[in-house]
Amino acid sequence: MDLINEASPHLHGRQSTTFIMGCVIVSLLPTLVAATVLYGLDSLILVLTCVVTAIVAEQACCMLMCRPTTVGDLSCIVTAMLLAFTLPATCSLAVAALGTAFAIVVVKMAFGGIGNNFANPAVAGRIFIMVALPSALSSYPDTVGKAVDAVSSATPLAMAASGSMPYSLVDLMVGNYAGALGETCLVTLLVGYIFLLVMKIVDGWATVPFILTVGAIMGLAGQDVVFHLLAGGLALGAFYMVTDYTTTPMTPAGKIIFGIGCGLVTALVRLFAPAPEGVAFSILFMNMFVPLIDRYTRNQLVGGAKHAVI
Amino acid sequence: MFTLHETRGGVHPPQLKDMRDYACKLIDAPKQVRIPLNMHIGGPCKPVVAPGDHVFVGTLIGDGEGLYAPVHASISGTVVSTDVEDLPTGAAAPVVVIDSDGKMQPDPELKPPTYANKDEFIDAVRASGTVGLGGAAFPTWFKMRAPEGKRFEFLVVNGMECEPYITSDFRQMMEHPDRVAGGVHRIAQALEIPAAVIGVEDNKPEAIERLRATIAENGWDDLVEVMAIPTKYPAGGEKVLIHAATGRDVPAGGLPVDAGCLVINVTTAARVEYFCQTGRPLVFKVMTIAGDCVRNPGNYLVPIGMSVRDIIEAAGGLAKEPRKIIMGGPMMGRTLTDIDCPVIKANNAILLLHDNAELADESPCIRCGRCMRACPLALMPFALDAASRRQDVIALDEHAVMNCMECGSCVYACPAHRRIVASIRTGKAFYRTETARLTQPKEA
Repeated sequence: MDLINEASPHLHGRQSTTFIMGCVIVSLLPTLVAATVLYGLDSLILVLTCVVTAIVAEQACCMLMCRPTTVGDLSCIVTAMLLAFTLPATCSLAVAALGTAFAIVVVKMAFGGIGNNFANPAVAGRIFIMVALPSALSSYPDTVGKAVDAVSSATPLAMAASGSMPYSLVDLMVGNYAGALGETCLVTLLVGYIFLLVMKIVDGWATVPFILTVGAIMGLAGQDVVFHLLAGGLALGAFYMVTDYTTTPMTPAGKIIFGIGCGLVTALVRLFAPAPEGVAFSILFMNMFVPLIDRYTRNQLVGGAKHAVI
Repeated sequence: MFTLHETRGGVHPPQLKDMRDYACKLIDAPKQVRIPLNMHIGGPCKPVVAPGDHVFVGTLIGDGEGLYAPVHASISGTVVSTDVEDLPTGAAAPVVVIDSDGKMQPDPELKPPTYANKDEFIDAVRASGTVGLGGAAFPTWFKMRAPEGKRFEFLVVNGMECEPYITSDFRQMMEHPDRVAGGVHRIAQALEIPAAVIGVEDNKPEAIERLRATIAENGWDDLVEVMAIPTKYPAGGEKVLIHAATGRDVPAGGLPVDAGCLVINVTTAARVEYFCQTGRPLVFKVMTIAGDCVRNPGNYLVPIGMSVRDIIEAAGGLAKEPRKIIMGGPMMGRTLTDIDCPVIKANNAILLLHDNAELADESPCIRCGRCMRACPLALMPFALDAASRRQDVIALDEHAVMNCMECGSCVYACPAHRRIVASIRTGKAFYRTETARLTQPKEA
């Protein structure tokens, strides 16, 4: 009789990394549909370009590093979709592919692959494009319904910075304004986030403090709070970026600190920096503090601990 | 007297308690038993019989000193060997091999013990050979002696049986509620413990009802009560149960007595009561034989020392070739590779699995935190896993590796299927040797 010999436990739960990432992808699909409706087929092509690039880049890295492939866990697809969502639909496909490759190769795989990256690859990829190829992000196309030939115009946050505000609440909710393809439609982002909450894949420990902090500071600064909460990348950041497992703190206390930090940086960038958008910067900035936050927000051990005197 | 306290973490594995309605059956006695003399925590016993001696069921065959529990013959017959053997656990100990005479005659000299005070009662418990039957196998009599300056305020009795598959404690509560409750009452009275609580998971309402009725009928409710505790794994872990029943936490590195508690299993209590009534020591054990490979699964009363091979035979043989055999439950049980090995006092189940034997391969940790939320002791299993693998004694110390009770909740919750318990075990061994090395005084 050839019997398996291994350590307990001999029962595993049914969840897997692939299942979790699959759920995240499913939760992003409504927003992808909305983006295609709002900004045309260009958005879909852009997202697919990023996804294919990510898969190829990750597979190539695994082969080069002589490691078993990790493409099957689907996490590179999540990264690619989130990165594409932060880009304008008219962004050049080459630029998008370059940003995705940077996210996967440099930010994720060079640090050891899934679970070991210090920064959110999608956010870092987006900032890489913003810094290295700023012209690619200089214009955002208006929605298909408003301008059939997709003339580019200023984003609401850029307009708000220059003092005009032509969008209604409904426009802001459904994303009927110029912006990054996956950031504008709040309704679908919210649906996706609620789906992930129900599946117990994400929680609100960082999301809620993030949004509240941005709102509170904007309120104190005398800005239009509702507008600042609805416009820009705040929803995508708060629902999908600060709920990333690897690059955010572990405990609820740590997540609250992380969320507040993100809110603070976002608000400061929006108020004082020349850039109109601060969500991506804030998340990358706070990513750097995760090990520190983790260190000081450890669980209270049941029964305490008996430490050895070394 | 007792109120339910909420406990931390835990997981909800499938119950798989298909054997719950199978009444206990006395298994056909084997032709031979091999009884190891180290079936308890502590030093192994020395054989007090020699090859050629005739023994009855219940005859003393192994005795020791210090931390130990005496061992008795589980069948009547002739001793053929008392040699030291290597056992599947990795330890070596004397094994008393007895060939059956087919009569299963109880030792005529066995009689109920008499005791007048606490110490004599503890001596009687020692003579019964009882060890912690929940699986820990700590000598019960030794546990009953509260250390100097400490006393037991509560007797917490573990009838949780939170491991999937296993139903041996459940059958004990259903078939012998008088022994369980009576044993609890007797122990509380003899050790002068002012209050006792039997914790039972609320997925066993029949057992709760039966125990409550028995306690009320006999007027034991002055000392003993039954508490229904929400079903989750590992609600039957000693520290978790103490918290649920009393709200107290056992300090790290401490014992239940540090929280004023004496914790025993329901079957242990029943065995003590049975011994006090009949004088028959612990030589049989109810075991759940389950899994998809055995033809007649069920709950069997098995003589200690019977080999797994004989048990499978007596349970109708194999329907399928097992891929994995587990002694105990699927969450904390250990795999068996030699089916000729004997069952010991603390075994409560044998699972023979074919279909679900193979587990998913592990993949990298994604820091999702599910292990941390599942840990009943609020440890950070992902950090212990990483620290164990990179042999980082400082991190192991910071994250209190020795607190881990290896319940397996973290692995169950892990979407990456990381073998966290396996790596924590190696981490613990490394931590022990490394702290000993680092703290020993330097030679001049």
